[in-house]
Amino acid sequence: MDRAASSAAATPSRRPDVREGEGFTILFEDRFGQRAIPAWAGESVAAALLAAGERAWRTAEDGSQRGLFCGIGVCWECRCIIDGRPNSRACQTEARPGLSVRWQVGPGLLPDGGLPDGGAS
Amino acid sequence: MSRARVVVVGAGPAGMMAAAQAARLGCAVVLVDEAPRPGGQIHRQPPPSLAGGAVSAAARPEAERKRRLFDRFARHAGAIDHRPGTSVTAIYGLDRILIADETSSRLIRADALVVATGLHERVVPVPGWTLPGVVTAGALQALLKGGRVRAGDRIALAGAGPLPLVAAAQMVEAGATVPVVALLRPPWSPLWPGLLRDPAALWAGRGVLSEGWRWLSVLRRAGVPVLTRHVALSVSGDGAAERLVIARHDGRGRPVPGTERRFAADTVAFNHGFTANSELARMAGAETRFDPRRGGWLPVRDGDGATSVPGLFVAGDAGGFAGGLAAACDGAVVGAAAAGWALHRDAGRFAAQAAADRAERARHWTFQAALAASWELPRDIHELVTPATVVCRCEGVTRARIDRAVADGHDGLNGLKRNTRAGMGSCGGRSCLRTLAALAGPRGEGEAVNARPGIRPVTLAALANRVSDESVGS
Amino acid sequence: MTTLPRIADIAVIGGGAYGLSVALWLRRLRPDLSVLLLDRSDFAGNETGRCGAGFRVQWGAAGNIRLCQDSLPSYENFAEEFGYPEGIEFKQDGYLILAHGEEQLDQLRRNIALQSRFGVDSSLLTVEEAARLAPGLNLSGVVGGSFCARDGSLSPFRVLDGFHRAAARAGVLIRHGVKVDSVEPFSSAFRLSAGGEAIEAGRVVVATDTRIPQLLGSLGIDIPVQPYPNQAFVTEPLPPRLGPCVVSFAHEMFLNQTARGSVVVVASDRRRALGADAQPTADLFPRAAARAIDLLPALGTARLLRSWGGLYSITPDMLAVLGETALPGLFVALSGAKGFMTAPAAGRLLAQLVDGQAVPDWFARLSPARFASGEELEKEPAIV
Repeated sequence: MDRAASSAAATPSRRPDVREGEGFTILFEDRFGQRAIPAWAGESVAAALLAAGERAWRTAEDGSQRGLFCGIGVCWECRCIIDGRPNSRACQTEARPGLSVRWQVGPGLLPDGGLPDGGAS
Repeated sequence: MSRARVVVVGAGPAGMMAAAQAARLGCAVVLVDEAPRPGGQIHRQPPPSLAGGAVSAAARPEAERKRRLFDRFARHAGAIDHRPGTSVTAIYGLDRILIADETSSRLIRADALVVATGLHERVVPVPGWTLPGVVTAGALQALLKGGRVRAGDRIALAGAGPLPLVAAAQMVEAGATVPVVALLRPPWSPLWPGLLRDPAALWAGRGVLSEGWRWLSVLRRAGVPVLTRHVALSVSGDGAAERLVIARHDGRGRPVPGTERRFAADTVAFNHGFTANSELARMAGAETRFDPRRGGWLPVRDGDGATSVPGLFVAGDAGGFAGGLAAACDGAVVGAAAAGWALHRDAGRFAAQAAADRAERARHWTFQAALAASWELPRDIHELVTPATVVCRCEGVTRARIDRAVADGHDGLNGLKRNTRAGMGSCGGRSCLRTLAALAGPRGEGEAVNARPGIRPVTLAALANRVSDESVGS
Repeated sequence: MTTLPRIADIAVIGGGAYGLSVALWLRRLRPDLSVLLLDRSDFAGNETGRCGAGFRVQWGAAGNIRLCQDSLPSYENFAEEFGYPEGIEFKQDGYLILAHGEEQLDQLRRNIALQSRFGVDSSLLTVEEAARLAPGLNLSGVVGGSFCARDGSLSPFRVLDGFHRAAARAGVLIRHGVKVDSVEPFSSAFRLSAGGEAIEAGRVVVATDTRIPQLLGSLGIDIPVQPYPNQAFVTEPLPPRLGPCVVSFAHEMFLNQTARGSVVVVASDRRRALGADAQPTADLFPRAAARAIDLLPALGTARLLRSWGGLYSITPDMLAVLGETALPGLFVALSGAKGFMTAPAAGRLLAQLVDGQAVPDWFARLSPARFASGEELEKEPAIV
């Protein structure tokens, strides 16, 4: 599926209510690079990513991609590297201006195999 | 001697009412909850910045229920030591309950402990259920209620019970296209025989029924096909969900050849009922029994919520699914019993104070008992879990690996878990143990897995930083 | 309970690493004999399933070194030797024993000298060398260490599954959920009583570790062993933070980042009494989590997955007890808290002994007869 197309088509309409106040952006980095994702105060990181058409942000040990599943912090499928910390649940983390989300591989590596706090594994 | 203390775990309807009741009756109350705001999953509150907005006609009854609950809670909230963002990590005894937040942990004492931890969704695996874009029906609701975001543009739903229908209608109102809702059986048909015998239960359930009717009307107006007696066969797509394949089933869950249909979707949501969050009660030593319709391994409790462990009470859906309305009444009843125990070692002391809630609870319970049949899964539903299908999402354990272990004789749930590692990952088995038990055969559902200290995710730094209990509940 | 046979040539009691290994080897040596294994719990329900999942040859007593040294090739070639292609997750990144202070360093030096006599390739490290091997560790106060690159971390569940399957394939009849209540001599054989049923066995191997005295005490067989409670916890899977397994006596702690990424922390507590039960206690986390973070600071942000307790079997010389008791035909297999590491060799050699074959002299000396004769073995100093 064409990720960019789905992303563009999705952006405003997945927020059915009109948002009060100013939006901001969080940064999402996967193997294709880093991009800004719109978010509003109070949204979870998962909500902001999904609203932008991003459905996956982790590669499991078996190589398959994962995203949100249970939405309530139970299943841990939505874990990713948030502000440098691996295994953070996107559905339980509130979006903040400038927050960094990075795609997590396996137990907490970056897509290039590096450690989230610098250095290679 | 300090004031008698009731500790309540979970701030959903049951926990909120239990805490309010115990506070009203003069106990020091500590309400421990993982979420930042009370309400639980059913009344998940958006943060203040996203609150407000229009409420549709169909969504109004729930909003009204929520308002009543919060009003009642607010009257006693000043007397409750509410600790949001906090989880119970271990119970070493009622006098040593380990709670932790992001930065610290402490051991607290309870004269009575009320476990009101609710439940989480059960999903029966199908090929493709780990693809991004596949979520639970409750996840759709959580995103909408908590963040006012819908998960996708084209959302197909499948499963059992009324939840997929309600979630589908909510997605329609949020602007999504719903290509299909596929249900294993009609959720309304098992209702009537029970309800027609019991007019009081029908009366108690009138709100839920009319609400259901309104949600169905939303689906009908939008032209959403609701297919009953259909089973999900697979989700497929290139790296993420692109379509759901369903088929008619023969009544036992086996697909009827030639009836397959595919529906394009960017999001597929499943629900096959619920699993009670009974780990804390089990860790505290409560006896359990298995009830497949109402949530799996349930703590054995009486009408007061009292378990086999003196001083340990269970309230609401953690004791078995009965819905939010029953949970709120149950919380008020169990809160009174816990207060009686904490103050006088007599759970019946304040029974009169909760008589109205007890009577209302009985009507909801009768209504929900009729509804519970709609969550009953067809007998052969797990035949659709193919050998290559991942059952334990955390550890990547396939059905073939589980079948092999069962064939090797490891058909008790704890032995099966150790042999396959299914259920040992980050989620603590919450996504797979029901499936594992069903695949294990007769012994599998007979034993609950061991509940060991450390059941909720807490950092080692918070565990190392133990602070004193003095400030709690005073 | 599944049906039990009334009779077996050899009965093995205990389904941990020792019981499974000895049963497997008995059938391999003697396919003509029936071997029945009785386990009171489900798969991996006892001490092997609760161990820290580390392997090391770096011990300070000859018996321990030899048992581990002889077991290592079996673990290195587990897939072929036991027909288990799934693998046992052997992360062979070595094992580092830290010395805080000269006294500990001297002991490690003596241990290495002994190890080298048996051809073990271990070496004494400077602090700088230890830091290079495990850069995440806090080495303040450390004066050096001992290291062996062939040691490492491996999965007890996989190993037990491999043993279990190999034993079943070899024809061992395995029955879980069967608690043996008593063993009694009966004409020239033994009678086992299990849940009201009687089983006759020509020879019996008791491999229930700390529970051996409960079963054999009434026969006048005195195996001196004390259960020593240890507690452990494991984190969620983490990115690579620790190559080798690490022991720090100063922290009373063992750390092991497994092949799956989880860090297993085993915390001993000298203040706890021998014989106490194995339930985790409320003081575990403030004590052990703080020490674990002190030793490996990256653990501070790691989340707990679960905790548990287990029992070390402590013998007077900290060595295994493997051999025939005063009652001919009745054998014991007691691990001395190293059952997981030593099971391949201990099971094989004990099976030879049960079958009446010759065993090496060093193995024969692990016999329970040593306690009656007063012949003392060199005591193992290197336990955490």
